[in-house]
Amino acid sequence: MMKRREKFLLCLSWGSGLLICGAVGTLLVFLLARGGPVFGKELFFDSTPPMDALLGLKPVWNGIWPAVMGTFFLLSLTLAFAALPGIGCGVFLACYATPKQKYRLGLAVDLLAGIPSIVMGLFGFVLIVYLRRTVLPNGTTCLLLSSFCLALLVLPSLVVGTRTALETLPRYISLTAAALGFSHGQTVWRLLLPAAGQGILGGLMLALGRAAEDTAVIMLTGVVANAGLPSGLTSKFEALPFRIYYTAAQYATQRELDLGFGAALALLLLSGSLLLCAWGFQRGLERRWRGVR
Amino acid sequence: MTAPSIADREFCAAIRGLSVRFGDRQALKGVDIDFPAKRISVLLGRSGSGKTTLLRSFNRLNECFEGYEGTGTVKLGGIAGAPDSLEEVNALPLSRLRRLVGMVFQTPNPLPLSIRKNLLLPLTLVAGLETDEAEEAMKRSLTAVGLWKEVADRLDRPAFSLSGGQRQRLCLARVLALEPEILLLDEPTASLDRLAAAVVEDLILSLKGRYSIVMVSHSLAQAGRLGDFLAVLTDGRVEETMAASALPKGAEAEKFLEKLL
Amino acid sequence: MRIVFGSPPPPLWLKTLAFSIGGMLSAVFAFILFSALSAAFQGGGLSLFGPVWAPYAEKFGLGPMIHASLLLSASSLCAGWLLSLGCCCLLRGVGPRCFARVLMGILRFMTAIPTVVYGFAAVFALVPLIRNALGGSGFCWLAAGTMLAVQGVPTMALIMDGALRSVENDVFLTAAALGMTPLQTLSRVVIPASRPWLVSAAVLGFGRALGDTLLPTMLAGNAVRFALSPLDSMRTLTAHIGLVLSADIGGGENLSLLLAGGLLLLGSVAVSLLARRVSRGRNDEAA
Repeated sequence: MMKRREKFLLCLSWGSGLLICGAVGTLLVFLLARGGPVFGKELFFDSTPPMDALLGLKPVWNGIWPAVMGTFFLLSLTLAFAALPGIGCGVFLACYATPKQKYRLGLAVDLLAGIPSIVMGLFGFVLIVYLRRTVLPNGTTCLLLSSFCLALLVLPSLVVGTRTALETLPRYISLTAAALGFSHGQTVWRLLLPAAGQGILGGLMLALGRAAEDTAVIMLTGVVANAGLPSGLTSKFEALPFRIYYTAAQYATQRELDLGFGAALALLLLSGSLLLCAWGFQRGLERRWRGVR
Repeated sequence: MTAPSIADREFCAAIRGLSVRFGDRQALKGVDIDFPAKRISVLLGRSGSGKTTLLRSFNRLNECFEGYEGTGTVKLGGIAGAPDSLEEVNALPLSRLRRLVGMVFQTPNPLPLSIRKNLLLPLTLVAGLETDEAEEAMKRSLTAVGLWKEVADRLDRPAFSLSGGQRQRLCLARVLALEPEILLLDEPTASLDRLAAAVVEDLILSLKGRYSIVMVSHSLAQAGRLGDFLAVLTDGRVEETMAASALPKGAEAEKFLEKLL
Repeated sequence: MRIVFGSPPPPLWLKTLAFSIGGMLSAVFAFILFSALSAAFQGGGLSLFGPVWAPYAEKFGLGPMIHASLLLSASSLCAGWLLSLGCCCLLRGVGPRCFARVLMGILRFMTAIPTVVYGFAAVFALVPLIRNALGGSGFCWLAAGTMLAVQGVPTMALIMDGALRSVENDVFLTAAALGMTPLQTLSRVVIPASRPWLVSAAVLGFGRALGDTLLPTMLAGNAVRFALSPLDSMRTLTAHIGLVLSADIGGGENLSLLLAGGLLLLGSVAVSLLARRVSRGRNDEAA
């Protein structure tokens, strides 16, 4: 005899499981059905010869290539800004910090992690307005500003990823190293960091995935719908997620709509493969330590 | 049963009034004991009696654990130049102390590196050897523990690919390569099967006379086979010390064992 | 016993790098809060919180946006939290094992789906569906709330699953020996025992729903009014910032968006602090 509570839970379980599967299935089928047929050379380069487009010799007007390159540059710059402070802070928290420092820095990282991306974008906007009024009268929203704000957005996940990778290493490593006479610095840099390397790389991939999909930050800090390839650090740029957002609101022709679906599929592939890489790294790390903990 | 006359020998360690606590757990309560040089000393006692803590006070490894507080002096012989002088452990730089006082743990603990790197990294970082000198030292110490033939062709495989007994010998080789004066062995055979344990025991016997060895053991039989000097710990204090030859035999041994465990 | 290191002095450059994070955090706070405050003073303070948004009459009240933000995130949180709990039960023994494995794969894959892709698909699939079935434009509270709920499921479900799994490991043998079915074990023992984790999943989910910009902007219709029916159009604080800034208007609108940013920042701080408190309480309970 089943009580009411169990009945409710049973219905809830199957209901939500099927609903989630249905929703994701519909989403994938829908995207593949609409974006699949246009996914190809045409989608990226339109009628421009691919080699010319790749080398930047000829502009691509009616394809998503500029947006792909914009996202690529954005991610590289974000990585350049975020990698060192993020990993450094993670190492500091895991291996050096006193309890008090751990508490304070941990709080700062938590707070930073909670800030919505639109607020981070607003920060970039306010920052450039302030800079224009003071030292940079010609300053404007641009690739550099966008990637700086994106770096701020993904820093916390980088810090937490690095810290977790280091703190879940088997404890005996540092004890053994101490017994052998290694200094603390040698233990950290020669043993612990290489041992946690894969986990840290995994965290980096997850952070990149987060940066690749974010739209709100770049929307306020310099992305535009039509810019061609970015011409420099201080120029406007295109990006995949904004392309998709823009299409949904402003498409005029069937071709533009097709491009939007193609771009959605491309972005999904990009963040999917970043996630797969991250899993690969973290699985490798787990397998390495299984049974020796 | 008479106390062993060790006064006429050299000491490798002299410990006075050593008390150690971790948080609110008192691990050692005023230990006074001397250990003979170039002999095998065996620490016996129930688990939790402070054997491992006493061992770790030699190389100040206790300080790596949370809530450590300690008083008293630990002086080691032969580690500061003149062979018959005793030197306080706190007076030495930590990395030099730990190089001269090598330690092997209960569970074999190769570092997550290749077999080669496991030996070379301490040699180059801690002992400051050049790579070719270090390679030589690696070969010597792997030969000394009888591992060279088994691993010579797979030095670049991960150390975790070795069996338990091989891992423990690797750890011993890693310590011997640093040319220590004193060897600390913390139940070195406890996690090995009988065959591998016998190999490691033979190895320890072969080191007798060249190093001062202090080991923790959970087995009276092993203490009888290996030890020259025995110390029994109970509840953080040294209960009894004796020469191995004074170990009780037969029915006496049963009673002794009961008291111990 | 936890192994700690003595007290090695960290390299100075590392310490600087680590604490630069604190610097950046304070920069963000300083800029946003300072501009929000100055906006509040310039715009006449309280009128910016008023209920009337009528730019032509110089009335820039944020009331409707605050209302929409709270309503949308609370409703999507309720739906999303229930969905996540249901998925977790299915994963932890209510459903057949093969289905659980598939569902776990789907949940993990969902963390990789960009928000903008959810929004894009919903604009062309869910919105027409609502329009045809229920009338109206289709861009409404219901559309945005549904997608926000679905989008929040993987984060919450993965947190809950970790908690339920660890509790279940402890009790499943005992419970099975007492003759309880997996469903009974879940509903009577495991779920009550993991309540702190379920709460912190909800807190985190609320923070994410509150801060999400794209789904409300793309799906909720963005009309400034106090929405009451699920088919009403609404504009959240986040959408407000994006819309006003990209339309590049000056004056009172700008002041209101700065204030909206400040409000969102304070909201996120409150959520983070609450989440920390919940997880600290959880650790104390475990110890």
